[in-house]
Amino acid sequence: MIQSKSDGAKPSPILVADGIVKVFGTGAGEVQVLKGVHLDLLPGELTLLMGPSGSGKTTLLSILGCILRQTEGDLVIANTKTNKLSAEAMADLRRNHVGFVFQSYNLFPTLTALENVMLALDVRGRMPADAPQRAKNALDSVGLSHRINTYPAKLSGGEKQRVAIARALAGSPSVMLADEPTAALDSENGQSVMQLMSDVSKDASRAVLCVTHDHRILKYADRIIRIEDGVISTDERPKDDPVARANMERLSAEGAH
Amino acid sequence: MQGSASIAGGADAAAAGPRRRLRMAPKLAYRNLFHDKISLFVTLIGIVFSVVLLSFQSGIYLGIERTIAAVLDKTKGELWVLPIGTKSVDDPSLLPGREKYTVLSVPGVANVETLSMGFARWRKQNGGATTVLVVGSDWNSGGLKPWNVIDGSVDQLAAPKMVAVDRTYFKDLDVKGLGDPAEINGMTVKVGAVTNKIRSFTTMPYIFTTLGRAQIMLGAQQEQGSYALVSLKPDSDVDIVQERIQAKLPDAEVLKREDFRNRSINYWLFHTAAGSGLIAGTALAIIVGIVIVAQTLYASTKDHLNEFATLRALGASAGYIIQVILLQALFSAIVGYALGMTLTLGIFKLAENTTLNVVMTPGLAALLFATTIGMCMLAAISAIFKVIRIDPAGVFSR
Ligand SMILES: Nc1ncnc2c1ncn2[C@@H]1O[C@H](COP(=O)(O)OP(=O)(O)O)[C@@H](O)[C@H]1O
Ligand SMILES: [Mg+2]
Repeated sequence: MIQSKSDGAKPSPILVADGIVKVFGTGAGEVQVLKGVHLDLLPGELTLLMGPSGSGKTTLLSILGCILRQTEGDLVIANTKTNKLSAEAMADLRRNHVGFVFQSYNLFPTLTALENVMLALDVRGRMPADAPQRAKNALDSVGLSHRINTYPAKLSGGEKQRVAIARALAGSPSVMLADEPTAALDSENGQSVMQLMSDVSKDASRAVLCVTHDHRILKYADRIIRIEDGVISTDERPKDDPVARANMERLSAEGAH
Repeated sequence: MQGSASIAGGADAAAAGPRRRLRMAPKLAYRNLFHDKISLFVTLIGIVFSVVLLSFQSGIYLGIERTIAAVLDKTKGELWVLPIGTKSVDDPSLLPGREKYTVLSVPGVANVETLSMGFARWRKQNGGATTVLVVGSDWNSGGLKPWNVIDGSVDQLAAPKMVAVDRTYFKDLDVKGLGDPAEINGMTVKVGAVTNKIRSFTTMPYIFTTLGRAQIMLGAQQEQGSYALVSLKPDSDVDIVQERIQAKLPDAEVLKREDFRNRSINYWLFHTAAGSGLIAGTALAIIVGIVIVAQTLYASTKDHLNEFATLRALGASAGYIIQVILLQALFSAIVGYALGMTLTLGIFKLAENTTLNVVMTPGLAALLFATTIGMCMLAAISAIFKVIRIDPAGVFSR
């Protein structure tokens, strides 16, 4: 069981990663991409994961989301230790606990916005009679109630990403993982998508981890983790820490240029 | 499925409604299928080709089976006495002779009819000749009498020189109707009755006439025929009577009607060029169908690989993804079959009044439908192998 030392206010983490190592390739071509990552995600928080390109952010996100297996280390999600799970059990875990948001949206082009969300519900084995209503509500909550019958090709980038967020939300995941969700969006759409991610993270039963390069969106973060060369270099909560906050505001301002 | 799902957080357990898996999978399969029109077109061409070819092969087979059955079942003979080595009903030779009287003396036998069959030369009235299969019997006592008579009558055949021909073969025989003349093995004949759709399963038309006339045409003795058709007394045991007759006729073979029918059908199917062609054609149709569908389904799966990887990342089970592929195959099969069968029925309709004897029955149509579906499912295997090896981690690497 994962239980933080009871200081009362602090909720217990939804996801705990301990000593995650990831090695790609074998022999001479062997590359150690993650070199022992310790990380826990708390519900109700938006955590940003930042770091230079190639530092292992996507690899870490894939491992946390149970779509890639770590070489070493332990991962526990919603009290389930993943190390020994079969591929199908990993799929079950994703289905029940993880929501993904991708940089390139990964919507199904032959399905409408509503159907895209419903597909995620169906895959989750949750097609109750009110599935269309749930899907509509999810789209409504991302401000797209007027676009439910539109195909992805007819949606703007920002709208697509919001459909993707609705899709992730409809399954009410306890962990939401996003890989550079604003990278393909203009500033305005990026801001609104990040605002949405921030709102989503305020659910007390959900943790949100978002990989980003985008300094414009630092202000939404409850927590910022930096990863460099496969290890976490800093992990701070700027809203609690005046120095970090000043630092963040400086970066934010730079990003705006 | 696995135990992990049961450790779900509270929100999940509450949200799980009644499971109705098959709602979005068919939609996705259907949309993916109809999304790429060219690939769909190729798939359908493949299936339609297979269905039409298979229909033809099996329609011809059924036609043959029916023709053979028709000839045999039009007689009252439960047991057939045949020359030793007879391979098929239309591979006639001559019995030694006088079987009728030998058989009549066997207990349990009610009646015996001599049937004379043999190939003969039909000389057309305006020159030229063709080979025909002459069938002669005494139908007054239950022999093989022409059926489907549409012009003239069976009784008229009793008059001198009269024969019955089938309308389907008018052109081949160079006749136009009742009264037209020809020569069979040098003997002058006249059309005394016209039948409809008594199609032979060889290219040779049947010509019906009396036993006596047939014996003369075929150069047989008076008491000599190709077959002796034995009908039994009501309460007699067919196996016992068969044994008794066989014991009395060591130089002939005694078969039950259905055994002779099966032998004839098997001979045609497995030992004639037409039969081998049919088997080869059937195999070809199935192989072509599977290959084309497998190719297009595989290509379509590759085109949608990112979607399948996303599905997997969203937590779809392997079973769910396989379902989508199989549904695509199933939809192709249904649409392809519908088109192919429509085309087939059209062609069969056109063939109705020709010598091409093709038959479609609801049972055969159902069998072909099942075959088409089986073919498409088999074709889905390579695509399935492709999708189950998808690494969901691929979803981020674009
Ligand atoms: N499947 C893989 N095989 C081999 N190397 C990989 C694979 N995936 C990622 N890498 C390598 O791991 C490193 C980190 O990649 P990634 O996690 O995508 O970094 P980031 O998302 O921070 O840019 C890179 O050097 C990349 O080339
Ligand atoms: Mg990356």
